[in-house]
Amino acid sequence: MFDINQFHQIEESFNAELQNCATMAQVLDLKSKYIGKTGPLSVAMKQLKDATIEHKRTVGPILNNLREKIELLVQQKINVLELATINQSLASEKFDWTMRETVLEKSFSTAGLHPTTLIQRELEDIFLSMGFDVLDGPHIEDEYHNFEALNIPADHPARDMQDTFWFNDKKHLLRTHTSNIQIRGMKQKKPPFRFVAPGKVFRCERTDATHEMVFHQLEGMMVGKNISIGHLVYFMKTLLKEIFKKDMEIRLRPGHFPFVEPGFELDIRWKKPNPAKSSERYSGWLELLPCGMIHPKVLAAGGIDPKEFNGFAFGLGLDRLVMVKYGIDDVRHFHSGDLRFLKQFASY
Amino acid sequence: MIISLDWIKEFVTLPVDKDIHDFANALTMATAEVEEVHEANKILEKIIAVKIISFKSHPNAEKLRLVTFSDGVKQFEVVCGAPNVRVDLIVPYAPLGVTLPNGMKLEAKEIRGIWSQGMLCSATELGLGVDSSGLLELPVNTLIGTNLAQVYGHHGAQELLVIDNKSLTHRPDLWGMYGFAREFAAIYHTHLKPIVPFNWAAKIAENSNLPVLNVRVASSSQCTFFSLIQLSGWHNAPTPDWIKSRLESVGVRSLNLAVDITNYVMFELGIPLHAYDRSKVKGSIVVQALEQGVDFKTLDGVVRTLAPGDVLISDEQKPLVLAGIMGGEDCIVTESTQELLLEAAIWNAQDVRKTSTRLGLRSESSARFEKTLDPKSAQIAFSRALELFFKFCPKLQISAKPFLFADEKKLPARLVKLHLSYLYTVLGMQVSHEKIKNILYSLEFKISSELPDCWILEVPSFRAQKDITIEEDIIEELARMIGYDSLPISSPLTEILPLHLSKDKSFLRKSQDFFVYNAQAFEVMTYPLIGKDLLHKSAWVDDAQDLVLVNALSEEADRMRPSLIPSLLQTVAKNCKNITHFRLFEFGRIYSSVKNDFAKEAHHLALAFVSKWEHQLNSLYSTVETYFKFLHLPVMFHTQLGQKMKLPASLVSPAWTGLHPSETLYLESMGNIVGFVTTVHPYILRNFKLKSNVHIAVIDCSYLMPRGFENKTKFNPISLQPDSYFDCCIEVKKETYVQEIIELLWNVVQQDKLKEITKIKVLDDYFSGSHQQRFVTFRLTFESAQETITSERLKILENIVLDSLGKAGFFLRKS
Repeated sequence: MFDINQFHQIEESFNAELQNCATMAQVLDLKSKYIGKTGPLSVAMKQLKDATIEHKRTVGPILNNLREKIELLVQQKINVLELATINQSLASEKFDWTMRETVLEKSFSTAGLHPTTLIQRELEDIFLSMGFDVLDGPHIEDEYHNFEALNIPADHPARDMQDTFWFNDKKHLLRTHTSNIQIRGMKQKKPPFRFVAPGKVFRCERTDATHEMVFHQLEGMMVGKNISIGHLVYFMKTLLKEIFKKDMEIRLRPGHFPFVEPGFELDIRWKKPNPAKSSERYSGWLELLPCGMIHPKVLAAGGIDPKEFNGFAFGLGLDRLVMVKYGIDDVRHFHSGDLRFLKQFASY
Repeated sequence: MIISLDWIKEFVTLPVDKDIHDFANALTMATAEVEEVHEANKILEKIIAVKIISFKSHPNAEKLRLVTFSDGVKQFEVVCGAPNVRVDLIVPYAPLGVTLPNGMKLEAKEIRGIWSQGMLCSATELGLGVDSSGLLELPVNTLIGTNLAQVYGHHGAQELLVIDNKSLTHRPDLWGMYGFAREFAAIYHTHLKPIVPFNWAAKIAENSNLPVLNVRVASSSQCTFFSLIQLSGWHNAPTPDWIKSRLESVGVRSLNLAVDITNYVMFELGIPLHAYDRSKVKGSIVVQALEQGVDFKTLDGVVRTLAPGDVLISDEQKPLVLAGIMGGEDCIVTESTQELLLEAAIWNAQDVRKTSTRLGLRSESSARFEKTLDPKSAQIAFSRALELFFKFCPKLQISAKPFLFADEKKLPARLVKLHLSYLYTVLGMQVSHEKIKNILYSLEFKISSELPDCWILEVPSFRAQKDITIEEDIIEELARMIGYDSLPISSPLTEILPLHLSKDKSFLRKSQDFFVYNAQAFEVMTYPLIGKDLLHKSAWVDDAQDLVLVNALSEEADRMRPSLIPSLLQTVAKNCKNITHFRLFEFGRIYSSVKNDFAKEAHHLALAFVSKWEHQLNSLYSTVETYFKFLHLPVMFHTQLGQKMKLPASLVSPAWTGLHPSETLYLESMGNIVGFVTTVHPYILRNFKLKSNVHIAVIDCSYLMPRGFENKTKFNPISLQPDSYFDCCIEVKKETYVQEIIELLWNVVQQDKLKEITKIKVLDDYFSGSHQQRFVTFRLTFESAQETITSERLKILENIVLDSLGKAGFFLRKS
């Protein structure tokens, strides 16, 4: 009643016909022809209901296998045809991937922070990582915090050197240095402590390529017990190594600032441009960091007993560092708001 | 300040194995910054003065001549192109083998067929000046055959160091050669030749009837030391070359012997002295501060108006000397002077500084007196000058009783303690007692008592005025001589504590990043100073309370900015010339005067979206809305300010006409108006010649900064039920704000407690029929975490929504 060979033939002819199918409809027709209700497999299944148990046991699994095989082949064929169809339609679509933000005039594909912000953040992070708090203070300052308390009395010649913008009450001024934070910082904190204070400073000075009436400094201070000159140098060397990513040759030489004693100028060795020949550079020293051991009068003004504590302080010109780092030739760009300048430092 | 090494070497022996660059470096590292090094012009020794005997035209070149000259022994011939060649002219000759300062080496060479033996030189070619127009013409009395180093004396052949005066402000002792000689002696551990006081008392004429100099030093003069001596029998003689050349090397012109001597002593010992022509001084002399102003002709021929308080030395008829600054023209010593008065005095530094600053008259003398000079040094300088006067004029006599005034109360010896343990702490290392003592002695400190840890030092008078007053000053002396570079470098031992950026700083940084990465804007910085013109241009109401500077550099920057807006508009206008489409922001301070404080500084943010083509207000508004979400702070936008809400004047004056009448939104956060977003009024834009769309936002960060970034996010379980949506398309008027409808719907949700409605958004905004009709499609999201919403419930919800819309006059689009 059941001829196993017949099933082989069915399989072979299905395979042959499937090969010839080129469209989805043909595949579906073929599917219904073989495993549809009136297809040979369904017919055989129906007949199997009335067959002997032995037949059921032998033929049943063969039929089921064949049916599953056909279903699987049909699905595979459908997948192949579908993929071919999708690929065909994809091939006909052409996407202009070159039409991007960057080529559009009306796009904002670039933006960025001010270069001074970049350097300021870098320095803040370096100091923060070494345990220095980051403080801020007022631009409009009184004479006391900017001068008096820093051991710069009214008749001191140092006041001439820091050309000061004064307000009409003759008591208030625009801070000439970030050192005004020294007193404020000391009063706010209990030793031991260390902090830096970056910010804008003001000098009544004609502007040119290297002079600005508004520029940026970073003040730093450490107060504790038994602080040495070597501790100051340690932090400065570490700072410079972090900024320039290499050990910098430095020298410490005497420098006079009323709020430190002893006071130093810290110079770094660099390749100076030769003023006569711009392409040439020669080795020289760049004055970078005035610093020193905090004057006992300044400590006392900050409410700290100079017999118990001492410390160091330093100041750094941020703009000069920005100029050295990026090779900027004119300090007046910084406050120009000119996007042609700022775009060169874009974050993306 | 110029230092002559030749002069220095009179007092100290410098190491022979070191050159001028070593000396410059040593001074820079231990004492004061050397700005320039002038090496000796050694070439001059090889250049010979010759006399031109004859010349003729070069046979092969029109402009060249063959010049025959003599060095007194031999005759030479060279080819020369200089126009000023003439017979008997004495000129410098560079023989073969010499290398000129410009690097040119003279070799025998053929010029147009004639062999030339060396070269006749111009001043430039010898490094003696800038004149290159012709041969350097030497004086007619120049001895032929001598080298130019002899002809020019030391000038040009001297080794000089130029010191940065700023590094000498606290060191009056370094305003003379001797002070630097002392530094060199300390640096190189060599002997410093002492200045032996000249016994001038022996020169006082033996006559018991000597006249008395009638001098009165008033206390108003604040003079602490005044000595005056009368010298008779003076006759001018040529100043010796060595004095002349040394003065020239430090930039001082020789005038006459008496003046040259006082100048010489000033540059040697740092103390200004003054010589008067005795015959011009009438009657008694008084030293006092002026009570009323007077005109005074200083020796430079300028009439200056003196003010009360200026200290003056006068005789009975007229002012003689403006104390510490400059003498008068009337009593200057000339070549015919026969009787002199020599004065040494110590003036109050502040008085000198005040007067010289006011008059704009800075002299070598005032530069020194400003530093507070030492009376003892003045005595030494006085005796040194007398030594030179008597040396060059042995017949000189002291013809009156010398006048000496010294305020002894102001001359106490200064004692300073030095704790060795503190010294070692600051140095970071121990130093032998011997080394410490050697340094102190070489700088002329004395040790007056010596306990194990505490030494009491006597400061030499020339350092004791203002320079060295405390222990730290002594430590500086020791440290700089030990050498800062030899101190050990180490990290301090200190407690480690966690550390964060302050709230303000983090706020600033995160905000800057937001505007760069989210708003795609550039950060700008503008001047915190501003001028009236820009304020007017921006229609900013001029406030009488403005923080105005008294000494502004220009009218464009003479006051503190009351707002970021004017400079923002200016920056926008500047950039519009180059770019048509940009965004920028500034975090800056604005300044205002307040009642109890002189000034208040507030942190503001200003943001500008600028485009020639597009209206970007909504884009700016969305950015600001997102910014507040980013800050985790609530914000509401108002088109009108209600009764309760006031626009803070610090943000923008209510009278500012820059706000657009319909395109302005006020930001409310935590009960305050903290900012606004607006399209700048075209009328203001006109002032800036701006034709673009300019939208700005200003936010007062002072409310926001202290809040920090508090993220209060709490997790909500994710609904297991699928969301369902209800889309409804409603016809609205063109000028309707969608926000009105959204708010209306949310009100319904609240009133009817329709808690399943979780989102109300606009799906589409559509204009049809050439913009006569507008249709807005809203999508309402229904969700419930607990249970599936039944279709009956959905229907109910939808009907409530449509009903309430209908009641408000919004109907579904008729299909």
